[in-house]
Amino acid sequence: MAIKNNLRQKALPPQKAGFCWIAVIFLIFCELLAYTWVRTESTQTILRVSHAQEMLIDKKSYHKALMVERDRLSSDDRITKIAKTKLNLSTDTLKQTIYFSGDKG
Amino acid sequence: MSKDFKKGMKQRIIVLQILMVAAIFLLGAKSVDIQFFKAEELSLKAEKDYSRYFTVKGERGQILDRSMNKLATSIDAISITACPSKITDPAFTARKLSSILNIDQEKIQKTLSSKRMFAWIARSVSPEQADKIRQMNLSGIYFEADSKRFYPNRNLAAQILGFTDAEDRGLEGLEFKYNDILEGNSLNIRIKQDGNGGVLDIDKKKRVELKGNSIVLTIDKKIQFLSEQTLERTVKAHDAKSGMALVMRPKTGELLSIAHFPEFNPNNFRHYDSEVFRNRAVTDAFEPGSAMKVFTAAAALEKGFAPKSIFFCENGTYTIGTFTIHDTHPYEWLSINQIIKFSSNIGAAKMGETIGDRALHTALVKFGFGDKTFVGCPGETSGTLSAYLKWSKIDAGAISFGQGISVSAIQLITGISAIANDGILMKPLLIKKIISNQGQDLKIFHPESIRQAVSPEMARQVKNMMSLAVLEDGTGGKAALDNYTVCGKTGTAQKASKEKKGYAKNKYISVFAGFAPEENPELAILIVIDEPKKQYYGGDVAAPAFKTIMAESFNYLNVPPEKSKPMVAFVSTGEKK
Repeated sequence: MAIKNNLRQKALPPQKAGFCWIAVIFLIFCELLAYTWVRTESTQTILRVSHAQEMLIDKKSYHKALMVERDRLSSDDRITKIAKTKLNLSTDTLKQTIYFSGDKG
Repeated sequence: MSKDFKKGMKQRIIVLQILMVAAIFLLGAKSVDIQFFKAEELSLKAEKDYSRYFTVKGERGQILDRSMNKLATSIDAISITACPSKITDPAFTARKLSSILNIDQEKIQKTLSSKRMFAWIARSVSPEQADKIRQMNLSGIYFEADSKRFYPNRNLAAQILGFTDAEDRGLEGLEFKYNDILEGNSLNIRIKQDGNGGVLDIDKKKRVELKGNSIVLTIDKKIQFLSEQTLERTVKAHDAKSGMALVMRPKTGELLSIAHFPEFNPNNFRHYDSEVFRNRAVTDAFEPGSAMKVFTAAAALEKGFAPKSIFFCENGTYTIGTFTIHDTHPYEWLSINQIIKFSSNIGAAKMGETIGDRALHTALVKFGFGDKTFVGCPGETSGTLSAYLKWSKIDAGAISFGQGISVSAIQLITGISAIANDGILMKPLLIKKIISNQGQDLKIFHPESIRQAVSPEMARQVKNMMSLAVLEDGTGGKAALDNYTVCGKTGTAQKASKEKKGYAKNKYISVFAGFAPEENPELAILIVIDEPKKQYYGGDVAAPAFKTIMAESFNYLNVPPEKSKPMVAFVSTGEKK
């Protein structure tokens, strides 16, 4: 009988048990919040990485397009046309030997 | 508070408790159902919403010239694709897309009405069009990174390069022949996307890894341009149908240029007649005319004749069976040297007859005639050189001056180069190497000697004969250069008639084939002009073009003058000595 009384005295009062439950629920809720935060951050990071990669790819693509444009602009056909039509230049590769005359230097 | 009220309250609490427990139980049961029994089905359904399968195709490899200049490359483009099964109103989407892409609305609607997971809507659209469609935010419509073939030098070497279709498959030229090497690899990957359909995955970068291999040609962009420019001028000046100009390094067999006129722009090849797409230097055979005489002379020398051996040229008319051969000028006795210099048909026919069918045939086969060169271009012809046992009485004579035999331009320049190269026939080389998408050499093609077509001494003697033909009184005088000894041979061949047997009237092919400098030949050049109208002799039509290309190429390659003029510099008064 004395032992029974002791046990009754050690059992938590109902109010304390309620606090314990609230603490557990709070902990779980915090965990849920943390998980959600991590998940959101992870998605955001993936988005940022993806966006950065997209920008990198776009820049590379632009660089490539510029290189091709440079090749197109510097094509012999175009340069020759400009030289002939706009600058009035001509090539005379057939007579490139220069004949020197006069006294020996 | 009455006892009844307390009892009623207790009952209501019990009912509520039972209901709540039942609700929790039902939630639990549903949770078990979702987590265990429908897990696979639902995760697949969810995956469909945030990811999709997609085939990534690597970019096509490049075609480069010998100095690594881009001749064919790929630029990034955007293609519009769709997932028809996700489109709820195909008519609306089709109408919207049609207004921007200028594609038939019904055609798009038909594509979008299917239940497929993937469909192409438009390939390589402009960035402006892509932006407009993106702003519409149409569900089930996606934007894929794609590539578009581009030829920065437009018409340059178009017949060699060929072109590709919208799916980046080679249709003509080297693009077709080496499609397997150039084509990028494909990979089926799963990509993740956000709620707006934006691709989150990092697999996009795989496109770079999947890029195809590149091909480096022996073609020199500059010499190709110089050849094309001169060829165009020549064809237009003589109101000719077409023309070809080939430049080769005799020592290695490397082709520095294969020019054609008329040309086309492979960037919009659909605007041209398909007739101009062919690389005629490889695919078409023609009767070479008198240019063949140098090979007949080589055969005669190999048979034991000397350059000064003489043949009676019948005063300009010679009959074999029922056929009569004419010379442009009547000659009596001519040495082999003179036969080449004055391009006597009768002299060449007599040489051919004297050495015999077998010896002539053997010599021509040694120079590579009647056989493909395997230069690596599609549709190569082997020309026509029938077995000597089948030759008629006239054949040896006719073949000796370039009739009754047909050759491709590539065969002819390879044969001429063999004479320049001390009689060694080299395999024509167009592909220098194949490089990986990382820039590493995968395969290098080295110069390859096929055989000794003629002994070095005989080759030297033929060279000397060819140099005589380019003297002022020779048929090829207009090919002579100031500071280099040019060796060459003219050719004027009547074209075979398409309507009747025999040759067409007033339809000629003008040819000039030669090399320079004589002592150490740097370049061999072949000019073929088809159906010139104003003049038709090879010496008048093709020889000047040869001279221009050779001079400009030597200037570009810095080939030093061969004829040693006194190299003492005097104080200049500006007067020509």
